[in-house]
Amino acid sequence: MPSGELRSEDGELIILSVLADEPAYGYAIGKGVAARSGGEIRLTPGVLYPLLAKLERQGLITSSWETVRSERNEDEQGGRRRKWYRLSAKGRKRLSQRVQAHRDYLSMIAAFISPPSLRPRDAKEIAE
Amino acid sequence: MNLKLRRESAPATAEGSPSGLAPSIAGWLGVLGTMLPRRQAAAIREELESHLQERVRDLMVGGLAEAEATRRAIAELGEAAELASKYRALSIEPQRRLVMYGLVVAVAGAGLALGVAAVSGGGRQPILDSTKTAVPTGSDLRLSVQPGPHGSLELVVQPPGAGAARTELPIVQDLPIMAEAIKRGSMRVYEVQPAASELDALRAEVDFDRTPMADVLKFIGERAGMPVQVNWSRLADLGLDPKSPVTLKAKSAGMGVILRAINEAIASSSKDDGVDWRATNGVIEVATRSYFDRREVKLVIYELEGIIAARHDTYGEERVKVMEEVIQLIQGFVFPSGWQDNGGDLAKLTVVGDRMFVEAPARFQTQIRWMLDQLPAKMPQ
Repeated sequence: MPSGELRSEDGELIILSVLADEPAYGYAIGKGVAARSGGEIRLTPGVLYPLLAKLERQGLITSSWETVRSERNEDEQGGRRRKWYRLSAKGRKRLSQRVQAHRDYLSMIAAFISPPSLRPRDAKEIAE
Repeated sequence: MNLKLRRESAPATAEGSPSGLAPSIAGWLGVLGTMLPRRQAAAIREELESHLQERVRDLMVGGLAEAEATRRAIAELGEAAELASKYRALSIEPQRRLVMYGLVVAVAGAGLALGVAAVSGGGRQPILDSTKTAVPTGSDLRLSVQPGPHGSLELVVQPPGAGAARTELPIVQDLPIMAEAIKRGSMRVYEVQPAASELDALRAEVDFDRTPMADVLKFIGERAGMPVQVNWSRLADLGLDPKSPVTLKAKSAGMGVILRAINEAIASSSKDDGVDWRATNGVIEVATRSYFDRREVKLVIYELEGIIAARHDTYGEERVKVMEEVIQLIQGFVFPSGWQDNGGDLAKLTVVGDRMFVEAPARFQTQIRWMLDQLPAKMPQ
């Protein structure tokens, strides 16, 4: 897959999937996506952060702030803060719908591109 | 309405950054902050600041020097204006959305009338106007539906006092009926922003006493209700930075007056350049005059046939002499130092036949047109 050509709806699916595993903050989500895709998919920060804001606005994810104390500032008051994101119940439902829709789509396409010996049912299993 | 300068919450600067950020990061965040929706600006900046710090640290671990790591981390985030526009697209208040949906429902209710009006052209009179109907606005926004080109309809969202500068507004595309209408080209949605001239006409009582320029520009943005994008790297050419002091006390000052005060302060060192601004696409952009000049260069062809004929008939002057006089007039009076023939690099002029080709900034062309209009011309038979 060419990197940097991700559609918005695919970005949404990917972010919801990552957050389904565990809460994460923006930078970690970006790194996680790159690592899981072997570097093929890169959610650039210019895409990632507005998308997170959109998902939060839609109630699909929730957020909270965590104060980070580095070695440099652990003796000081305050410190840098990270915004953590979690999947909401609504987001989990949306993810489930999107995953199913994606699998149905793959199954449908597989029916056309599979070798003749493979039936659609088999193709669906492969897709999964 | 009189407004006093608010001095709190100035945009972050390198020195003012609470976490000792690299100046370039603080500067980038400062620029971004001026363009973000006000309510979310602090949170977005804090999140991106955290991102940048972590990214710089990772790049340094990977072997880059701090300056290069910082540069690359900022580059990955892209243009501040582009990023801000993505956030702004998300930031339409629920109230405004509700108002718009209300109008759309009203539009649907008046469907037949709208169809007839749109097909028949109907001039530019609003077909539906929230100030004259029972549409539940709940805000001081004015919404109206007007006939657009090719039988389409235009939904116009207009804050009080805003003028004629229209910006396409994609915010209602998540409403299926609107999305379909926009997709088919039968509905366009615009937001009306204050035009440049109106922005200059906006008046406020100001009392700047060695006030940092960043605060002054922020004040202007708040007054106009528009984000301000400041090109500090260009302004640095004039010796200006976010902390440059501005002193101006006036009962009623518009954007032009305030910028004149800034320009007068730097006039001694930068005679031919100065601070300038544009209001486009809902953003006030502040940079140098030379920056806008180079961006707004256009080629204009002037027909001199009528002037040549009139001079010949009246004074018996030959075409070549008339051309020389016209060129001399233009290059001598219209921003003389900008012309290539005078050693400048902003404008050039070539004559071919009776036509004069001028490649120059828009403000040059305006003055050239005015000067040529002052010369008697013989109308072609």
